[in-house]
This record gives sequence, structure tokens and C-alpha cells, in this order.
Amino acid sequence: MTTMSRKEKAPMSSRRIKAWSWVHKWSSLVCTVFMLLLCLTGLPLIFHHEIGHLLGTEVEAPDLPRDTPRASLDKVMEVAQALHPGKVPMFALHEIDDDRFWYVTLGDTPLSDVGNKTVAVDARTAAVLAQPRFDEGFMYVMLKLHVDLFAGLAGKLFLGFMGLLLLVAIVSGVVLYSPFMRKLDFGEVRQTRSRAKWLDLHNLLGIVTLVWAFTVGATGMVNTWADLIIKYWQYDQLSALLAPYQGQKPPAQLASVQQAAASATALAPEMKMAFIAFPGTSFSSPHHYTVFLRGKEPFNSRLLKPVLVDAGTNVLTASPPLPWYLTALLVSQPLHFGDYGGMPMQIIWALLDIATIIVLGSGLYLWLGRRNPAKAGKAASPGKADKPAPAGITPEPHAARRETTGGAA
Amino acid sequence: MSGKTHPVKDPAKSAAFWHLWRWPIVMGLLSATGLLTALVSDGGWGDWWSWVGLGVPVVVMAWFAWVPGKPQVCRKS
Repeated sequence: MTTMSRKEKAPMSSRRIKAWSWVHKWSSLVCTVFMLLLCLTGLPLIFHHEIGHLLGTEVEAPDLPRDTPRASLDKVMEVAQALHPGKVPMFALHEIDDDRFWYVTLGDTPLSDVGNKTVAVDARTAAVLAQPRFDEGFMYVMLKLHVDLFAGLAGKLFLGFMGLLLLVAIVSGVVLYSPFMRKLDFGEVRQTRSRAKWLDLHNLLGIVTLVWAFTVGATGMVNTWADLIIKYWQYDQLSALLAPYQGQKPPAQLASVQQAAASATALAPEMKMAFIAFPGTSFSSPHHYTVFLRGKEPFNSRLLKPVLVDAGTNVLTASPPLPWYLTALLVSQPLHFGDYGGMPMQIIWALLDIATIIVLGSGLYLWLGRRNPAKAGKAASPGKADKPAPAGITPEPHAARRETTGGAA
Repeated sequence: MSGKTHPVKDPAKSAAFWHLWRWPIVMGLLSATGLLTALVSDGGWGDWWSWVGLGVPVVVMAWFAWVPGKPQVCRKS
């Protein structure tokens, strides 16, 4: 019985290898250049806090006694807005691990993308600490190349699609691991020929980084959808809450943002402030301050609780629970950034990133070698330039056949 | 799963499977737990485990890439 079915499946397996090879080749070829770019630009981004610290662009709040009373948010906003008259408030936010100062973002309109200004204001003294420029410098260029290729939403979605191709390449690579590695021990890197060596390294580094690369690739892809996810959240969750405001104009005079923040934190005293989205911004409605609170424990510090407070009357409107798709987005962010396990994790993240660069580079090298067999042969072993495809670097269809049936049974 | 239709498992096949996949599975499990533990802890054992879980695969890659005894001289072009 078993023998029969194995025999029946045999030609199929060989065809299967061919099909998966085709999938692996084309999915990786299309995305490789962009993935190399993402890996290279991602490398400094892993250490953006440390680099900012070195460049002196990181905001440092002075050490004050822990019980120093906090300045009113109304005062903080007033101080920030005084520096940029004519601009409207968009956001006020704390860094996840530092609530000693506020980043206040101001723009020409609540939805403006360009010309936004950021002011760092001490949360205790309401003194201006810095006016960081997030739209210039080396790290800005790295970030833009990494996030959207300077092409806005279209660039993000394009890179997201490249990320999807990477996932396809990873999955197909895992499928092909078995026919290629059948005759080798784990980690064996043949030193005989240049091509064999690079193939073995490609397979070794690819299979060992598998889970990490898949995680970072998938979470990166999810991050490219952030804008769309937030838009959907507005439509999905806020439109119902806004029904009573139908036909009303947004408040001409904004009520106290300090009071809005206070009533939000009173609703969930076990949480702390993450950020406040001002009326009309993408994270709020035209009629509300939306105060986002975060948990104080490590496992829930990334999860946000939105509280909508009427921006005209300061009446608490609602606190809709975070829908699953925003939870997924928020959880996927640390898994992409590698910023949640201290400096050792950042270093390991960088090393895994470099390993991925080698996987991409060796894959490209192997493909180029295959395209120019004469050149590859020369590189591998001088004098055998006429040998098109060196033996031992092609999959073992027979072995693979056994493997695939074994896996399927 | 379908133990009845295949009462006798081919031991050679099973051995081949484990020969091929044992270490990739170990590496995958280490990475996965490393990625997750730091997410639910702050500075404690979870961080430590994440350094081990993600660090061991890095060491393994470096070991096999550089350290193996090189019986043949690598002819680099």
C-alpha cells in the first residue's frame, strides 16, 4: 500500500520541487533589491535612540524629584503653540518609557503631512526642552527609505507587497530546504566550490533565521497597513459615536485639554497616558479629544485604550474597546522594531539582520551564477569553465520525493 | 493521526526526517520563545531568555560559517 502510493506520488514530487523552485526564484528575485534596502536602512534604525543620543538630537528631560507636580497640559500646549503661531495642535505624546516631557506636534491643519512642527516641552515645568526636526538628517532619510521610499502611502503599500513576496520566498525556501539538504548534515558548509559553499551558507542562514525573518517580515508588512487600519478604525468605531454630532460644526473654542486628560485617566486609574489626539486628526474625530491610555505592565504597555472626550464641553463620550486589528498592529510593532529587550536584543537583532543580508546576497549570487554558467564555473574552479551546473548543488529529487511523501502521509 | 492505515512506520524515513529537521526545529523554537518572552516581561527572566533564544541561533550560524575544520582549501576566486 505504502509503496504503491509512494510510487504514484513520485513524479508529482519532482514536479513539485520544480514548482516550488520557480516560486522561490521569482518571489525572491522581485523583492531582493528592496529587501536589501530595507535590511540596510533598518540597521541604523534599530539603534535610533542611541544614535540620536550621540548626535545630540535625543530629548533629555532634567532629573527632578519624582513628586514634582506636573504642569497643566493647557500650559504645555500654550507654550508650544506660542513658538508656532497659526499652527493647530495635532498630538501630544509621551515616549513609552519617559513621561517627563511631552512631544507636541503642530500642523497647518489637523491632517497635514508636511511642515509639521514638534516641540518637546517639560511635563513638570512646561519649559521648552527642544524643537527636534524629524524631517531632516541621516536618520530621517533612513526612516523614509525604510518606511515609504519617500512615496507616501503608495510607497508603504508597495514595500508591504515586497514584504509579502519575502514571506512567500521564505515559505518556499523552507519547502526546498529538504531536497537540497538531504545528503548534508545540519550546518555543513562544503568548502569545495564557491557555489556549493554559498548555497550551503544560504541554506544554513536561511533556515536558522527562518522564524525571526518571518516574524520581522510579517510584522513589517502589517505596519505598512497602519494608515489604512487607523482609517478603518475611524469608520468602524467612531462613525457610530459621531451620529449625535451630525450636522454640528466642530467646537470653535476648544475646552481644557488638561480636564479632558484628567477625566480620561480617572476612567482607568490603573493606566497611564500614551498620547492625546486633538480634534480633527486621524486618531480622533472633529468633535473630540481622544486620549489614548496604555497599560503599566510590560505585557499591556503596548496596548492602548482610547477615551473620547467632547472637545467643546469636556463631557466624556465613550471609551470603545480596542478592536482586534488595532491590537494586532500594536503588538506587531515591537516585534518588528526589536526594541523590547534591551541593548543585547538590539545587537542580536542587528546580527540577524546582517545574516538576512547574507541570505539575500547569496541568493542573488547563486541566481547570477546560474544565469552565467561560464562565469560561475570559472569562479568556482578555474579550468572547468565549460561546466554549466556543478554537480552537488542541485536538489535530490529522489530523496525529496521520499521526504515529501513522508511529510504528506 | 492515520496510524491504522500505516501500522508500521518506516524507521529509515523517520530517521531521515529527524536528521534533516531536528536542528532547524530547535532553532525555530528557540527563536520563537525568544521573540515572545521579552514581550511579556520587563528586564527580568523574559529578557534573559530572549537573549539566549535569539542569541544561540546567531552563534550557531557564526560557528558553522567560520569555525568548521576546513579539510579542503577553499579556493576563492
